[in-house]
Amino acid sequence: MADTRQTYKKLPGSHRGVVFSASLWAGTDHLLSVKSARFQEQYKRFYFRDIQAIVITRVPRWVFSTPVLAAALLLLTGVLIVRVLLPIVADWLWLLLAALAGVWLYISLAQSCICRLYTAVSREDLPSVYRIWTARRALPEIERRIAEAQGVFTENWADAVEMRALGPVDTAGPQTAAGRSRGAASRSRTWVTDIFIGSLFADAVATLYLMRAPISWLQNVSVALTVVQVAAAIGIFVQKYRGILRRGMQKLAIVALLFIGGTTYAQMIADTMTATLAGRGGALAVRARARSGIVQPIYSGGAALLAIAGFVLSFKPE
Amino acid sequence: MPIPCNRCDRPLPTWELSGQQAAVCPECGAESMVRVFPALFYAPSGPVSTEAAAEGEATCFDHPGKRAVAACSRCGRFVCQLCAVEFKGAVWCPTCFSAGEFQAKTTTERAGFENSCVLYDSTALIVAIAPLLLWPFTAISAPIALFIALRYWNRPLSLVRRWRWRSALAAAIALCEIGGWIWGIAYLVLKARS
Repeated sequence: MADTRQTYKKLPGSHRGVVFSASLWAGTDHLLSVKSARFQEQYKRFYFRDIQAIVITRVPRWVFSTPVLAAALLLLTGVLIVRVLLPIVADWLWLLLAALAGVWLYISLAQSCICRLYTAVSREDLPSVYRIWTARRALPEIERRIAEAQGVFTENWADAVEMRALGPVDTAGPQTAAGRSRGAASRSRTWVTDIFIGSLFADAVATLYLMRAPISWLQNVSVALTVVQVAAAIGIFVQKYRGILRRGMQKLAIVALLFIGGTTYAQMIADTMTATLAGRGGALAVRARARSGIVQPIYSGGAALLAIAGFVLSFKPE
Repeated sequence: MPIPCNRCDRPLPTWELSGQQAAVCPECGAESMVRVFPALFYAPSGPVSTEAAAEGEATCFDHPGKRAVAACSRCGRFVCQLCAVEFKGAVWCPTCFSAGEFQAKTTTERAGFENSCVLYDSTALIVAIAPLLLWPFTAISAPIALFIALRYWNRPLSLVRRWRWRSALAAAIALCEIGGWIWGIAYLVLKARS
């Protein structure tokens, strides 16, 4: 059986999201854009002889890749463990965490891009090329292959390009209009998102209050609000699948679920360690428990930030 | 339309493009690297024309009035200019092409046609791991994961490079889960007897 590894060469850049991932490969006569959704891969081919232009624009991109999330989760767990064992080191780890968050913010804001490829009949984004340095490494490789297929310009093309139609002829016409109508059909806000954002706000406030005075019934309310958030997040997935909601809110729901899961596990680890250090052996029951200790401010702050992000997304213009 | 900015979709002005390094959009201020290739200046090809068949000439299988220009390399049917699908140095009729009968056997040949692929290895791994969060479900999921991992072991995984470690790991985890269940049941039975 022939080996596909001889057929395609991996080009710089890949996006590994929690659910979706993407990569770019070079074949003998075409580029292969691979998009994966965990259970299935989808392929798009762009023949080198057909590519009219590549435009890479510097824009902010807030991409949560799996390695970044894993590193953040690992460091957060490390902070929680070290905080109990070596409280002095914990402060340095907090600083490290803040510095890494700063680096991620800078990269997302100033070093990110959209890479778009044009042929006579299509206009496609390459999701695997979303950082400037990746684009700078991938572009020469693609250019070389296109030059082999098409040749190179001998004169300045900039003046002539005004007279030509780039991409699909009806880019500004029916296709875009259809795209716009699809976009307009999906909404930024529904009753599910309202419940989702409302419960995030309420939980953030309740947790903040619990930090000052641990009230039993308020703890139960906080746990119930978390259950509501999970249910609303599932509702958001369903509405996105049905085309009612836009994608931004779905991303927020994914981040919120990861955050809730992460803090829940962090709470369990913290409880177990505290119990072990206190000399109370035995298995701890895995159950819905109220947040306590260091997890409370993290959760309160995180939930408030997520709620603010949701609020902004809700009222973002179509 | 001239080259648009990726951010605001407004056309980038010529004086910005002539620099050929970075073009700044006058509308949104976004900086773009623009690479234009000769394909942009190719003359558009006109519609495919088919010729009417003269008396006694071979005609297209699907269009009896049109002159045949080739025979399908798979089924042998005559095809006109409109129906002839050229691919990898051969001519195919639309029926054979859409039915995928040309799709043989090697992954290299498949590489020219496929536009999606089910990732059985990832499916097996997720089916093996995800139910660990609610472990009683592993009684059902472990045999399913093992079945998926083994049943599709020899199936080509992807058009691009991909290793079988996910299938192997899924099978290993599923076997451990099944072993755990057997051990647990045996332990409870023995304990009940004693």
